[in-house]
Order: sequence, then structure tokens, then C-alpha cells
Amino acid sequence: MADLDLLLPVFQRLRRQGVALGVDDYLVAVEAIKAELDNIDDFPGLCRLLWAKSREDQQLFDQAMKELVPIPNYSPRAKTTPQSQNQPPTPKTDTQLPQLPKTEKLTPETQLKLRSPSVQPFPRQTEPLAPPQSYQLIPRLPINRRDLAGVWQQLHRPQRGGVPELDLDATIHSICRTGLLLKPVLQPRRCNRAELLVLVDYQSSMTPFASLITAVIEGIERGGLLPRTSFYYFHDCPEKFVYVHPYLTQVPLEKVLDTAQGNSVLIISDAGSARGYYEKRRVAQTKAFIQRLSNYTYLYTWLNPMPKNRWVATSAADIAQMIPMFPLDREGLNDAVKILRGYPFPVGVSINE
Amino acid sequence: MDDLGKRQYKGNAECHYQPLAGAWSEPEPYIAAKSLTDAVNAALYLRRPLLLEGDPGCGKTRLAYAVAYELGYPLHTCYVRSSSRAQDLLYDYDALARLYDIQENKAAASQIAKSRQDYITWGKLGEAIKSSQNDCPSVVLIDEIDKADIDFPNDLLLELDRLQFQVKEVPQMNFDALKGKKRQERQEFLPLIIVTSNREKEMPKPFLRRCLFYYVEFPDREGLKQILLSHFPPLTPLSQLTPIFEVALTKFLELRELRNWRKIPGTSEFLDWVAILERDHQAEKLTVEQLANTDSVNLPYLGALVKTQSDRNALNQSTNSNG
Repeated sequence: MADLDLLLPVFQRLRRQGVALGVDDYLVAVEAIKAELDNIDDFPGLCRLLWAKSREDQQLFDQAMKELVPIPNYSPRAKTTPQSQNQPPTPKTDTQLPQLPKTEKLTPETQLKLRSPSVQPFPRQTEPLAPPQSYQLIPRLPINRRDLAGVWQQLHRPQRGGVPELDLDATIHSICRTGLLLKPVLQPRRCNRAELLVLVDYQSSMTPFASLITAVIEGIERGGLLPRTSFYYFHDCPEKFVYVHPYLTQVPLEKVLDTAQGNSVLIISDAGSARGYYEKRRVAQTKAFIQRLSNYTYLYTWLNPMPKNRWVATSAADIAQMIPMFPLDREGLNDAVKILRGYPFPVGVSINE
Repeated sequence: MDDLGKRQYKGNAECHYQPLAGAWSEPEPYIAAKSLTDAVNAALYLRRPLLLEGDPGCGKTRLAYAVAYELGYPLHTCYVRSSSRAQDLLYDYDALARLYDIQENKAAASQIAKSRQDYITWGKLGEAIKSSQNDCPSVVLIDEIDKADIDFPNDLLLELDRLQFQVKEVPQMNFDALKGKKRQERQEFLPLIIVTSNREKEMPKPFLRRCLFYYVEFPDREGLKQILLSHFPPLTPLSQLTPIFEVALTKFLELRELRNWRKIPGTSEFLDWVAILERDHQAEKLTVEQLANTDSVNLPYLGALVKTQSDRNALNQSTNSNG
């Protein structure tokens, strides 16, 4: 059990870092270790399998292992103390033996040899090129990528429109009416009809948030709505044209908004809060845009990568009065998706004051 | 057949156990890394679904075949489509056929009506749960789960967790692989579920929670060598690659390092390519020296490796700038 206790800090840290783990996952690890799986000679590898559910998670796990588990057992250079040989892993290595080429008696040295493969799954990622200086180069965003993608799965509007399927009730009804099964009644299958238009501010004041914005876009793409999502870019405020790629092919805003008729529209921009001053022109322009937008749909919201307390006394504060604006964190993202699903706007937010 | 609980996956493409009835009998030359066999065995022990991710063509799907063959288990494969629904994996009830039959029987007024059970077609997962209720384990492959709607994995949660389902149209038909016992007690009879994903969509958290996750890495030189040897067994018992394979391997690894690929060629592409080279070599149209002296962009049958125009263009460019 000692091994598992050593892994507890790793488990706790992963939880803090937002990896979706519950008590159940810990118990499964306990169960697996108790059962002394013959062929699995490394517990960290097993826990990694159980706890890390994406490559990102795997990196976090490896990092945590490296920092939090300074046990001699798992480091290739360390000595194996006699005490640790009496721990649960020993019988396991015994059973492991027949599979190994050599069948000599277990001595501390061979044990060390046997144990060293247990560290093998890790070095690839944890061993940097220059061992003494390691930098943690895992990009850490305010929200983890899984949440960024997961939240969009709530944006779900099931409507009939897919492949035809048999409408059993209607068919039976028709038999009852005519006394004969003339032909089956079909109906389109239910499928997700939610569409999303994303307008992204992509210049100057938004530059510092580039990696976060890229992650948000990636999250939306992977969230499950894939074919029905479109992205357009603008600078400061969408006016006559928006862009298909940052700085490339321009498309008339009118045309883009036409496709958004009745659908969800998400705007991502700092609304002037990153620079921290108030710009009357920008507020007026944005107001004109939102007014225009509101003719097409009522499902629109704004995500602001700046934290809420920085909106005060900038253009963002005024714009937040006209359109539901949320900071780009986990709660903000959740609230934004709620608005896109048709929840009422927060009190006091309206374009027609 | 009392060794069921002890069967383990070794990853060397040999069947060590007596195959069960209806077992997958086609040998699959598949070389698995140690960490992958560990992952399979952990999944086998815990009987949790094993979620495999990795680049296309790195052997995610073939693993299921290899595992089924080595363990001597039957194999059920579900290839997910964009229109797939979770229920399709369990069963399909042909209500229309039943309506027609009832009508015909009325007209003929002679036959005895078929029972409701006769209109059920079992899905692959349904079959697996049914047979494991009869104490016969199996391997279930759910391929490319990210292709379906996002509801798909969510709708499968109960079935994956409890391994039970009910035919809604025939309420008395219930299947429960656990037979109301604990998972550990039934462990050796439960199906081993292997799920593959290309990560086009993020899987929902509750689904991930139930799975073991393994990322299939691209094999290194030594690994590729083993794979080549298992796919093209050498005539001599020495486990040595013939020169043409050796050169092809070097060329392929060079090619992979060349640039940022849009679609990097994987193991399966490599095997296809080597197969053509081998054919030409046999027919004496291609010599080892010829191949060794060709630069990457002029390699024969590059179409088997480079799959997009932009990769092709960039390949041309990089060779031009180099020389």
C-alpha cells in the first residue's frame, strides 16, 4: 500500500489541476494494485493509465511524478533499501520472473534491474535535453482544454432533420385509419441543429491573448458541433467587413450575419479593456453593430479575455450594458453558453435602453 | 477453459491459449510496445474500456484484432458512422417487418404469428454482452468513436459501466453480463472493449472516467524493424532485415523527419509502401542501390506515403532548397 500512499499527492495535484478524477478512480488504482497484477511491474504506469485521460493529462502526470515522488524505487540511480524490498512489489517481481530471460535467484542487484524498466514509460517526456535544467514548458491556460471543449457540448438544439427513420406511431395510426399498411410513414431523425457563428477580435490589444484565443477556437471546433461552426475575424469592432482568416479574404458583414439568422453568435474581444481607457467612438460603433446583430438573432453573447475587475471605467463597462459580456474563465464560459442556449440576459443588460 | 481468468496479452502475435468457440482465428502480425501490452492487460483485468488515441495509421484498430487472436477470444467490431446511435450497437428492432407480417397473416389467416423476438437483429456490443452472460468473453472494438454525434458516447455510459441492456420492444428480454454480481466476480467473462478515437471531438468527462487511456506513439526504428519482420517474415530463420527493407526503413525515417507534415505517414502507409517496393524488387525492377541513391522527393510510389498536395509541394520545396 505504501506505493499508493506515495502517489496520493500526485492524485491530489492532478485534481487541483482540473483533471476529472474522482474517489472511484483512486479506488480502482487501489484495487488493481491489491490484486497484484502479474504483468504490470510499475505502479506509476498503471496509475498513469487510469488517471491521465489525454496527452495533456499525461504530461501533467509525468511532471507531478517527477516533482512529488522522490522515492528511491522509481528513480533509476537510487539505492534500493532492504526495507523497500519487503514491500508489496516484491512478490510481484517474483511472478514476473518466468517471463524474463534469466531465471537466476533474486538478489538486490537483479531486483534493481527488474525495477528499472518501471521508470521506462516516463523518461521520454520528463527527461529534458539537458537534465539539470528543466523548464516546465506545458502551456497552462486559465481554463483547461477539456473544459474549453466540453462546455460547448451543452449547446445542443435537437431538431428533426437527419436521416429518415420510421415513425411508428404515425404508421400504426395510418393502418388504423385505412385498415391496411399502405406505406410506412417516415420522419427525419433528431439531430443537433445548433449553429454557431464566432466573431474574433484579432489584433493589437488582443495579441497577448493569442494562445488562449487559439485554444478557445480549438475547443469550439472539438466540442462536437464541428460542421456547423464558422469563424470570422475583425479588428476592434465588426464593421462593414469581417475576415475569413486573420488578415485575409474579407467577407461583407451583412452576408455573414445572414447565415446567423436565428443561430447563436459569440463575440470574443477585449472591448477596449486591455488598454484600459474609454473610447467613445468604439462604444458607439459597437452599439451600432449589436443593434444590427439583434435584428438577426437574440442568441448572442460576448467573451472578454480580461478579468471583470479590469472592465471598470473602460469601453468594456459600457458595452457590457448592451450585450451579455462574460470574462473568459470557466464560469464565464458556462454563462455565455447558457445565453447562447436561450437563457434570459442578466438584469440590466439590453441594447434598447 | 478454466484458464479464462489467467489469459494475458503478450503482444507477440502468437496465440498461446485454446481458442474459444467462434474465436477470431486470423493471425494478426502486430508488435505491441511493452507499455501497450501493460495497458491491455490492465484493461483486461479491470475490464474497463481501453481508449486508444494516436495518429491515423499507427495501429489503433489492428490492436483489437491482435488481442482477440492472441487471447483466443471472439471479436465483435463496430465501425462507428456519423449517423450511428448508441442503440445501434446493442440491437435493432424491425417494427416495419412486423407490421407487414401481421398484415399478411391477417390476409392468409393460417400462419402462426412470429414472436416479437424474431424481429430483433443484434448489434455487436449487444452480442458481446449476450455471450458474456453465457460465460463467453470477447473483444469488442468500437472504432472511431469521435465520428458519431457527441451524444453517442454519453448514451453508451450505462452499457459500458453495467454491461446490461433491455430490449425496449420486448420488455422481458434483459441482458446482464454481470448477472447481478460484482465486477470482480464476473471479471473473466466480461467483454474487453477497445475504443479508438482520432480526437476530432472531445469525449465527455463521464465517458473518459470509465476508460483507461493510452496514446499510441509512432514506433522507433527498432520497433519498425520488428513490425517489418512480422509482416514480411524472412525466409532465413535469422531475424535480419533484407537490404531492401533496411534501405526503405532509412528512407522512410528520413522522410518523416523532413518537415511539419500536414498528414504524417504512419505505420500502415509505410507497410503499403514497402509491399510495393518489395514486389518491384522481386521482379528485379528496383535494386537496393537504386533506392539508396534516390533522394526523398523522387522516391518511387511516393503516393503511398504523401497524401496531400500541400505536403507534396513542401517536399519539393525543401529538396530544392537543400540542393
